[in-house]
Amino acid sequence: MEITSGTLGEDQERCLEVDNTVTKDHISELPADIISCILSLLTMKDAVKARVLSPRWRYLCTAPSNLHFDLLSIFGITYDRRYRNKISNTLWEGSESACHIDRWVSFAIRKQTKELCLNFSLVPQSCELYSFPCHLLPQGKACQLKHLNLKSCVLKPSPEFANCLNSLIKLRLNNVPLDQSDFSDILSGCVNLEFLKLEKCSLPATFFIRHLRLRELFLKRCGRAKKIDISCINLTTLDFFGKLHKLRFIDVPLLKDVFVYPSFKDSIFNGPADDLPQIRNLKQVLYVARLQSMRVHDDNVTWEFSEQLYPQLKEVELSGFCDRCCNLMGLATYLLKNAVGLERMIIISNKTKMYCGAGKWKYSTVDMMTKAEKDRVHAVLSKEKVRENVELIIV
Amino acid sequence: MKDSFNPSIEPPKKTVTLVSSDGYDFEVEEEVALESQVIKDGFEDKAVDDREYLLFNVHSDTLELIIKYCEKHVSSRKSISAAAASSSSSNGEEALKEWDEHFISVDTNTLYDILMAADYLNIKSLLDLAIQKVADTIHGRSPEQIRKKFNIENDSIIDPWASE
Repeated sequence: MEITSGTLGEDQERCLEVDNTVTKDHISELPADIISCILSLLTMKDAVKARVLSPRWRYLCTAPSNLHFDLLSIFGITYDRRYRNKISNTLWEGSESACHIDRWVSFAIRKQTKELCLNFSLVPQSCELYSFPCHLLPQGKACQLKHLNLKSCVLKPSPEFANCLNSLIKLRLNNVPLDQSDFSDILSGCVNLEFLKLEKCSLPATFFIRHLRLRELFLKRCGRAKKIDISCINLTTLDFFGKLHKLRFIDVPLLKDVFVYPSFKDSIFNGPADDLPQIRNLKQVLYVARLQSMRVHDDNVTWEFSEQLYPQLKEVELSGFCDRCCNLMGLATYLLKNAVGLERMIIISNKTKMYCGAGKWKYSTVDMMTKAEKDRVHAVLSKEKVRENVELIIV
Repeated sequence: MKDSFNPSIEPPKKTVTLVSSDGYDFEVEEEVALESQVIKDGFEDKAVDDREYLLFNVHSDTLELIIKYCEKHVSSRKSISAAAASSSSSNGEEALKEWDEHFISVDTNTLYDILMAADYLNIKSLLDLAIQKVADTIHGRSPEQIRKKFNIENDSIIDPWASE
C-alpha cells in the first residue's frame, strides 16, 4: 500500500500476513454454496477429481444439480469421427446398454428431473436405435419433466402411455424417425407443449402438424418431407430451415414471425408462396417475413414468381445481396411490385447474415457491392416502386 | 481512487462512500455501487447524506478491483445500449468479455478474495465470472495438480477411494 497509514512495523506485519496466505488453502474455505457452484460447472470427470481433493470437497457437493454423462467426461475419450464405430461398438451393446439407460432414465424421473437430454448420435447406424422408455414416466400430474431433448433415438409411445408426456413444455427431437401416426400420438399426448423443434428427423413425404397450444415451431433439415401442413391456432413463430416443396398454413391466426432460410435456389415466394392465399385471408399473418437469401452462385437459375399479392407484408430484408445476382434483383423487384402493403425493404450487402435458427443471426463483414453498385441498385429499384412511401435502405 | 474525499471539489454525480476493512474510503458513483445487490437493497431508504457503507469483509486491495470491475461494467452497458439504440453494430459485448477474462486472470489468493467479496456484496456477474475461473482452473488437471494450485492440503490419510 502506498498510503502511509501505519508504522513500518505494521507494514511488515502485513507483508508477513501476505506471505502466510500463500501457503494457505483459501479455496477450501469458500462457502459451501460457492464450491457447489464451482463443482456444478465441471464435467463429470473433473467433478469426481475435485471431490478426491480433500474431505471437505468430498462431502460438500453430494447432490449436483446437473448430471452430464458423455464419452469425454466419463471415459476421457475425445470424439473423433475415425474412431466413431470402434468406440460405439465397444460401448454400445444393444439391448444390454439400453437396459442401463432405462435405469438412468428411471433414476432421473424418480429424482424429479425437469430437463432430460439423451444423445445417441455416436451409436453406429447399423445398431438398432434406443427407444425412449415412455412407460417409465409417471402418469398424470406427478411427472416433473418439462423439457425433453432426444438425439438419434426412437420416440414411439404406445397409445396407453402417450399421456405420460403431458407435462412436457419443450420437445426437441433430432434424428428421430417419425411417421404420421406416431407423431400424432406424441402431439396428442403432449397437451401442454409450447415449443417443438424437429431437426434432421426423417418424416414421411406428407406431414401434418396439428396442436392447440404450440407457440413456437422449428423445423430444420427435415429433408424427406415434401409437404408439411401446419394447423396450430396459437403458433406465433415459425422457423424453417431446409428444402421443402410445400408448406401449407391451415389455421394459424396468430402467426407473426416467419423465419425462412431456404436452401439454394429456393425462396418462400417460389413454391411455398402458392400457399399465401391462405395468409391473405388471415389478416394478421406474416407481419414480418424476414427472408434470408443465400448468395446465389448459379446465375443461370431464374426464378419464376407467382402473381400472388402480399397485402400484409410490411417489412422485407434481403441479405447477402449483390447486384451481380440477377436472382436477388428479380426477387427484390418482384416483392416491390407484389407486396402492396410494404413499408420497408432493407437490402444488406455489407454484411453476410447467416441464419443460426431461433431468430439469431451470425454476421460476417464482406462488402459485396461498391458504392457505385449500391447507387445503381437503388436507382433501379426506385423505379420499380409501386408506392412512393416504401422505404428503401441499402447498406 | 484511494484518496479520501476532498470536500473542496464538488462531485459531478451522486456518490456513495465505501469503506474497506482496513479503513480506506472509496468514493464511487452511485450507479457503480448499485452493481452490488446488497447495496441496492434498501438503498432508497437510506438518507442521502448517510450513504456510507462499511465493508468489514473487503480489504482495500480487493475493493479497488471490485470497483474497477463495476465501473467497467456500468460504462460498457451504457455504450452497448447506446450502440443498440442507434442500431449501429458494435462488438461491445465481446470486448467486455475479453476485458472480463483479462480482469479475472489473477493469482489464486486474489481470486479467492474476489470470490468472497463478490459473494458478500452479491454481485452476480462477478461471482459467476470468478466461479467459472476456478472451474476452468480445475479442468484438465490431476487432483495432485489441483491441490498444488490451490494449496489444498490432503488431510485424509486414507485415500478416499479406498474406503468405498
